[in-house]
Amino acid sequence: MSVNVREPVDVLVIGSGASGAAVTWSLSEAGFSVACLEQGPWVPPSSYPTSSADWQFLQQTKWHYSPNVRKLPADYPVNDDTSQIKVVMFNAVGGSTIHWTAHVPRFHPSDFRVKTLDGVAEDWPISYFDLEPYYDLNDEMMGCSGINGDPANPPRSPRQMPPIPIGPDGERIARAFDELGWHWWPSDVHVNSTNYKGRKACNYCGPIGQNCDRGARASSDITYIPEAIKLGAKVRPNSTIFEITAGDDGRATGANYYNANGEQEFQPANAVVVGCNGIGTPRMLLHSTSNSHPQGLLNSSGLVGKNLMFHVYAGASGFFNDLDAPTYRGPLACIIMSQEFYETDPSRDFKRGYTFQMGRGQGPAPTATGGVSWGKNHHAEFAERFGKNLGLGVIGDDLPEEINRVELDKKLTDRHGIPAPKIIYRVGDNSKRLLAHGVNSARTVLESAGASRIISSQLNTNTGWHLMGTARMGEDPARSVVNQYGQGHDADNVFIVDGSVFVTGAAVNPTPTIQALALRTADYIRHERSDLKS
Amino acid sequence: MKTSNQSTQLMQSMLDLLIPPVENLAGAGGLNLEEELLRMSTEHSKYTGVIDRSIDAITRLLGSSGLNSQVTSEVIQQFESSDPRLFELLLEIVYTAYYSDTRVHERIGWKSGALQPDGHPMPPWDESVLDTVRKREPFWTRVN
Repeated sequence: MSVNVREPVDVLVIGSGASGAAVTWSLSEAGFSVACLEQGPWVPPSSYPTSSADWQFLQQTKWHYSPNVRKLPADYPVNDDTSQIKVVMFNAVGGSTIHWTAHVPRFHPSDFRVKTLDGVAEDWPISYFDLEPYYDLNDEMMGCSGINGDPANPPRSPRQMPPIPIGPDGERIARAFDELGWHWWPSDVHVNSTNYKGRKACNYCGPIGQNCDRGARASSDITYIPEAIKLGAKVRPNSTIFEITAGDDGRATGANYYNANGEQEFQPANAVVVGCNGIGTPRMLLHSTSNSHPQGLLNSSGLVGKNLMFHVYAGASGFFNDLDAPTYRGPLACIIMSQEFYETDPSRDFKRGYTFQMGRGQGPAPTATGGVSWGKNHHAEFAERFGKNLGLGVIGDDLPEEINRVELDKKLTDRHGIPAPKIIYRVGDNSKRLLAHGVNSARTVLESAGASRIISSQLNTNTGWHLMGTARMGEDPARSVVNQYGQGHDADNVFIVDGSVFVTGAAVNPTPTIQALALRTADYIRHERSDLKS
Repeated sequence: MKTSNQSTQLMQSMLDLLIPPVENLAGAGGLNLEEELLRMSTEHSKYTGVIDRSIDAITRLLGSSGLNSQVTSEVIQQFESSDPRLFELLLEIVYTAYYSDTRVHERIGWKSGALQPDGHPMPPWDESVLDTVRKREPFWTRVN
C-alpha cells in the first residue's frame, strides 16, 4: 500500500487539547515548524448545546462526557468494565477543554513532596516553584478570574479578571464555612468575569461544561490554537495517529496516521510531542512497538500505563426551603472551594487530603435524572430539589498504585482497528477513608448552612475526568518513563506533556498543572534543543 | 418504535405510572410525548430500541393476557428489578422528554428554549464576603 509522506517538520505534536495546544503555540512562537495532529474535528461554537433548546437531550447523547455513550466518529471506545471509575474525555480540536468546567486551582507545594512529607508514593523531580512562572503564563493565555490572598495557597500573581460573583447562595455556603472556622475561597477559573482578549464575559447561563458561543469559558481551540496558527503552526483535525515510528537508534522518526479521508499518511519529524491524555498516551505508546522498543515506545521500565490515577469524588447535596432565588441561576460550578482538609494531618486516618467544591442546581431534566424516583412521590421529590439544592463535591487525592493501569484491549478496537484501552482500576483504602471524612465534613457544612435535608454519595463513579500518572516523570529510568522535562528516558526526541507524566495527582483539577508542565517542556525544547530545528 | 393501538396504550399507562398527573397537568402518558420519544430514540444510538424493548419486557411480565392487561406499579417494579440497565435508560429518556416539554416548564417556572444568549443576571462580586477568611494566617505546608 502506498503511503503519502508529508513534508517533514521540526516537531510533531499529537493532540490539540490543553497540553498539545500550549506546546504548539510556544514552539511556533520560537520559530520551530510544528504540525499538530488532532483525531477530532473542529467544533463550531454554534453547535454547543447551550445554543439549542434541545440542550438537555444533547448533553445526554452526542455531548455526553463519556466517549462510550457519545460514539462520535472521533471517539475511540474505552473498556472500563474493570474500573470502579468510568472514563470521560472529549475528542476535538481543543480536546477535553471543549467540555471542561475550567476550574483551575493549583497544586500545593506539598503535592510535589509526598514521599518526603508523608512517606507515600514518590516525590516529583520538580517543585511548585519550578512550575510557578508557567502557571502564570498559562493564566495569561487562558484568562483567569480570581483574587489573591488565599491563606491555603502560596501568594501568586494577580489574576487577569476579578472573581466570578459567588451569588447569594454562594455567600450562604461561605458563611457556613466561616461559622465553622473552616477555610473557603472564591474559585480560580478560566471563565471570563469581564471581556478578555476578544472573548466575552460569562453571562452565567449554568452548565459551564456544555460550553457557549460567547467564548466566555476558555478552551484551547479559542486560546492557544488560533495564536499558534497565526505563527505558522499547521493544525490538522480528523487525523488519527496509530503509531509513533522509531529508528534502530531508538529515536522517533515521525508518526503514521489516518487522515480525514481514512487514507494512511506518514508525518516525518525531528521530535514528537505526545499530548493525548492519561489514557490515550499510554495507548499510543503501547501500540508503538518497534525493534528498538519491543514493549512499546518509552516502555523499558514497564511503567507505561501503570500508576493510573483519577481523582476520587464523593459529595453531599442539601435542600433549602428559604433561598431567595432558584439555585439553577448562575454557573453550575466554579463558585467557591475549601481546602480546610487539604494537607496531611496525623490525627486523621488517611494521608494527603481533599478539596471541597461547591455546586449549584441544574435544569429540570438533569435534576430529575439525578436521582428523583418515579411514581407517586415523583413530583414531591422533584419539587424538593429543583432550584433548591446546593452541593459540596469532595475531590480527593488518589495515590498511585501500579495495579491501577491502562492496557491494550485484546478484542475491542476503534473504527480503524486500533486496539482500545482497557482500564483496570480500584479505589484504594486511603481514598475510601479520605472520602468518608470528606462526606461527613460536607454534611456538617450543609447543616450549618441550614439545609432542610441532606443526601450524600460515598463514591461518584462517572467522574474519570482527570487522567494521570500513566507515564510518570522521575530521575530514575527504572522507576519512571520521562524526565523532569517530559523527555523520554528511552528516546531523547519524544516528549510527553499531558497528565500521564504526573507523579501524584494532588486534590485539585489538573488542567492548569498539565498546561504549566507543557509550557515548561516547550521552554526546555526552545532553549536546550535547538538541534531539533531544521 | 411500536405503534399499534395496544402498544401505544401500554406505553401511555407505563408513562403515567412513571410520572403521574400533577395539579392541572396530565401525566407523562397524557402529554403525547410519543413523537418526542420516537425522535430521541432514533436520533442517538444510546436510546435505540429502549422504548420497544421496555414494552416487550413489560408485556412479558404481564403474562398470557399481554397487552390487554393493565400495567401496574408492581409490574414496573418487576421490570426495574429484572433489567435495571434498560430501566435506567427508559427512565432517563422519559424524564428528558417530559422535562423538555414547554407545558411542564410552565408549571415548574422554567424558561423554555436555549440557555444562550440570555443567561442569568448575578449580583456583582462583593469583596467584603472575604473579611472573615482573610483574617486567617497562611496554613499551606512550606516545602521547597
